Formats: sequence, C-alpha cells, structure tokens
Amino acid sequence: MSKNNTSSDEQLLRERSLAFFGAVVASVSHELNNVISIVDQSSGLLEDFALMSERGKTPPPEKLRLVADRVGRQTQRGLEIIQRLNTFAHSPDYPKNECNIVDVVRNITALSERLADLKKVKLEISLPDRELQMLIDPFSFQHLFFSIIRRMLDCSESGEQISVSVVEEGGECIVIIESTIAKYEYKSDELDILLSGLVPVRLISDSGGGTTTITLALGDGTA
Amino acid sequence: MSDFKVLFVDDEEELVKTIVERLGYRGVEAEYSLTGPEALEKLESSIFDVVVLDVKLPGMSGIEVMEKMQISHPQIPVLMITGHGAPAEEEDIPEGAIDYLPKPIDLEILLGKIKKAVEKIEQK
Repeated sequence: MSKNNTSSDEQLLRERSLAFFGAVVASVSHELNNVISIVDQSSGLLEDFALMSERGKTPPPEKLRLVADRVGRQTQRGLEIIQRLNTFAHSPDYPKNECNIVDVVRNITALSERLADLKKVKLEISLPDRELQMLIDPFSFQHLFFSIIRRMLDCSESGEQISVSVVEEGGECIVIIESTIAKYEYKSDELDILLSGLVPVRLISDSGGGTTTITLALGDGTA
Repeated sequence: MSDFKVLFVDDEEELVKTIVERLGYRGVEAEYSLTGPEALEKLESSIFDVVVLDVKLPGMSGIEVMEKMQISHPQIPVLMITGHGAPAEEEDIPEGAIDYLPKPIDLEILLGKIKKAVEKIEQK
C-alpha cells in the first residue's frame, strides 16, 4: 500500500470512527430521553394525585405503588444505559488493551439494540459465564462489530433475527454473528480498513441456505 | 369527558400509558398504540379527532404512518413528537403534520395543541 493510500485510509478511518461514535451517542441519547420522559410524566402524575387529594379525592394506594415501581424501573434502566455509554466512551483510551471480550460484546450489542428495535429485528445474545481475556483495540473492535450489525440491519426485513454468541475454540475467541438475512454483502471499504488495522481479527463470511453468518476469530493476541 | 378523542402513538409503553391516564384526568378521551400498523388498525375501527405520533417508531416509522394517513384519513390532524428539540424552521415540520412537540412532553402544551387542532377542524 502506498504512503498516499495509507494516509487516505487513515483519514477515512478517522471520519468513519467519528461517525460510529456519533451514531452510538445519538442512539443512546434518544433512549435516555425516553427514560427521562417517563420519569417526567410519572412526576406529573404524582402532582395530579396531590391535586386530587387536596380536593378530597385520594388516589388508591395501588396507583401510587405503580408509579413508584415505574420510576424505580426507569431509574435502573437509565443507570444501565449510562454505565454502557461510559464504558463505551472510555474504550478509545487504550488502543491496545487486555479486555474481557465477553463484556465488550455484551456492551456493544446492548448499544445496538435500539437500532435493531427500530427495524423490528430481534437481536439475541448468548455469552459464556466466564471471562475471555484478549489483547485487542476495544474501540476498533466495537466499530467493526457495530458496522457488521448495522449492515445486517440495512439488509434485513421486519421480523428477522440476529444472534450473537461468543465461544472459545482452540485458543481463539470466536465471535459469531448469525442472521436470518439471506442476502448480505458484508464487504465495504470501511470494514476492509478496520480489519487491516485489527490484527489478529479474522473475518469469515458464510451466506447460504437463507442465512448469513459472520465469524470473527480473535487469536494471536491472547493475553 | 371531551367531545373529541385522541390517539397517541409511541413505542414507549410506560410513557403512553401515563400520558393517556393524565389526559383522562383532564377530561380528554384518549387511547394509545405502540406501533404504526396498530395505530392504522385503530383508525379503521374507531373515530379519532387528533393523532399524536412519534417520529421514531419501530418497523413502520411515524412519517410512514402519516403518509398512509394522508390517503386513508386526510381529515385527521397529526401532531408529531420529535426526539430532540424543535425543528429549526416551521418548514422542517414533517409534511402533513400540523405541529410538533419535543420530548419530554409538557402535558399542558400538548393539551393546548390538541385543543387548537380540534378548534381548527370545527372551524372548517
């Protein structure tokens, strides 16, 4: 690869990385806005109940319990979203880092959930109970993973399914993304550049029999 | 109860349930749908005077629902719910919608816009 090509690849990767970061933050902020909206309306409902009480019409205790449970649930949901976003925001801090791939995959899958919901695609995840430590660039790995999921979603119809699983095989950590999508063209300049910079990740695509499977094998960098 | 009926469409179930309940305490008859197809079905089986529609819905988007409504129920005014902030200019309001509201929704503002939409229909 010539020096000029490398430089334009780096520029393209920088632009795409920023777009990826923006896409994740936009999706998460939308979800957080929904959480705040529910808490805001619940607070308004309590005000309505207070006004009713002042007029001598006390709301039944089970109504108050429902609102309290709702606020508790949404607070927990908001905390989980913020935790995921914080982990993601810190992922570019260490370009080469020993990471638990199980946690990284869990986090980026959860961050992709809203996009899947909007397409009405079911995003399932199956992860091992134990940690799988790998030496990897976590931000670029998430970028690659997200790009694959996004391209799959672009090719999918409502009601389809994407299943993500992680297994350990022969000293490698294998991330498998299976989908019911029949026609999926995974190749793109973005993925090619990401893969070339993401040694030791190998990508294997298998599209046939009405399904598509992308396998990411993470090997040589085992910590 | 009001002499008009509102359909609120948003995929956040806890949000729509709460808003519909609060509108009820203000004497406004309202129902909700969680998806576009469900909303279109409800419009076929019941009479609604105003539809409040979230732009981002799973599967069929709010814009797609509005496009279908322009053919099947062009007389029903639509208030759009936007995720963040307000459209920069009035012309940025999705075509077919009479007005917009940003999330989180201020219920009194929503109520005002619903009443304004109903008044407009009555004037026609």
